[in-house]
Amino acid sequence: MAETHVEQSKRSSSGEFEREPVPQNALLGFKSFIGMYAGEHCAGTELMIGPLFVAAGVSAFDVVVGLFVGNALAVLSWMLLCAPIATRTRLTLYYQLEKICGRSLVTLYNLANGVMFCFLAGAMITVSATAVGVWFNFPMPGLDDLYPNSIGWVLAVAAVGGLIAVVAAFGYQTVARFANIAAPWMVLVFLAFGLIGLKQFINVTNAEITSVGDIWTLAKTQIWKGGEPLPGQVKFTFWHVTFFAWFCNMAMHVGMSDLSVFRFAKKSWYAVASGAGMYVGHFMAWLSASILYAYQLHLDPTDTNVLPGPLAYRAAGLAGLICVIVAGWTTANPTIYRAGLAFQAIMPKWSRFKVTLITGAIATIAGMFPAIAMKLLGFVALYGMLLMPMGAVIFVDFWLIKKFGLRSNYAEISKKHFNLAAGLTWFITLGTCWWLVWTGRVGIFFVSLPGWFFAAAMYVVFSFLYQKKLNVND
Amino acid sequence: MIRKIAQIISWGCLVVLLMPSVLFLTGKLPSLDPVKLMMLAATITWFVSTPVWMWKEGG
Repeated sequence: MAETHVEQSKRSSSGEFEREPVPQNALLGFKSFIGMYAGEHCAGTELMIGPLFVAAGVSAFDVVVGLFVGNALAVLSWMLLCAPIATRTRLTLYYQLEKICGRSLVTLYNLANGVMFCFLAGAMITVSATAVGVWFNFPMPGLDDLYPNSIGWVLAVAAVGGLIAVVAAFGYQTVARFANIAAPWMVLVFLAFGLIGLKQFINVTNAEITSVGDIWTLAKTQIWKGGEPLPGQVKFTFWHVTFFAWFCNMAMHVGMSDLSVFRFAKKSWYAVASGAGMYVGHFMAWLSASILYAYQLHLDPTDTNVLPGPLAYRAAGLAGLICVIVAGWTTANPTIYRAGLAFQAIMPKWSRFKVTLITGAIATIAGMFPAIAMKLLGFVALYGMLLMPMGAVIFVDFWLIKKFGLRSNYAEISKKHFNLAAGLTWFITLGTCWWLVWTGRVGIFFVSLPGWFFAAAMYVVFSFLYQKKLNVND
Repeated sequence: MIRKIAQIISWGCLVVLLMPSVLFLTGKLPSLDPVKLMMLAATITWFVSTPVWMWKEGG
């Protein structure tokens, strides 16, 4: 998750624009957003997600076309839902939410966001630690492992996570600059993974490749063969892939986290820049990583371990191993930093240094449990589902609520610390979605779409009841 | 001048980084070992040359 001009501008201006619209002279050009999204979405976790698709028994058509469609829908979500509001209000997500929901509810939101960021950073630390395992050869977790399975693994995660946390606390900006430098190199190493993996498949299957059609045949029959998933994995169809690609960044587009990013955009169409991240990181990188894992399974069908370190080392040697470490490190760094920011909003008296260290420690402990990384597909879907209702609240509050004769930014005008309409919308939507998933009625990858419409309707209904009861002075 | 040279080296590194895997795919490089070696050399050179011009630009 490379820092770019956008990140720097956000941070350097944090004293100026956190509670006011971004002024015209601070707006950024289109190129800034391309760089940011391309870097941010070529992360260590891509090396987990690609292989997990193969473990889920995905077919070639489903994964290629599903990713193409799902990523297009994600870009459209940024362009049509998030950026138009961002470029009109030019406020951070947190300030926008505070105006609608009140400070107490935003504190709860920060807590939920911070915890999820910690777990995500934990998965990134897990990815980096698998590279350490190649050097020290200790037992590493398998696909079905939920708990740490060796002392060596615990020590490796503790060392990697501890280092990441300390560096993040001392020098976030230095790592962010390093991430900028690493981003172009990392993208090409990911591409090289795919090309090398493809050739390894051609060699091992003795396939005759004379046309693109031959490559497609190889992909269908050897790489993404479809069929039953590995034991313990959910079977992925075209719809699973499409919805996963669409909603894996749901917190950012539909959930409106990226209001804070696009408030710096001169035009809302700049959100098309998110396509750079989607088609580099969530298309090319996922497919490349999945080819490496499919090759591992082809060589030994019993070796189902999803370990980015050994996968990358087999394909690209030390350069691949360095890529795994750098990808995990540079993306865990801003994630820990963002989690720290969310927690610091709750405990403003704590220093940034202290909060970042504690956040890093939580992420490191989370990283020791392989369950998060091995169940990353479900975790990412859960993350989107958790924050999605607030995105619906912001959308309705900005575009629709006045059409119903109700007031937008209700917490601000009523001086409430907790907008009950928004709070109930969040809790009831989450409860309903969770119940639907828990009882097996709707899969976790799909529930957020009806959940968004449910939340939007709930917010209108609750606002109608809530605002009617309270006498608000103009 | 140094900045310009460092930039040229960096872009060259990206070519050297990707080229071996393309040559491996097309069968022009039969073994994976030289691919790994060239990728490592390109990686080291990239991280030496790129900060010369990109570190300042970023900051």
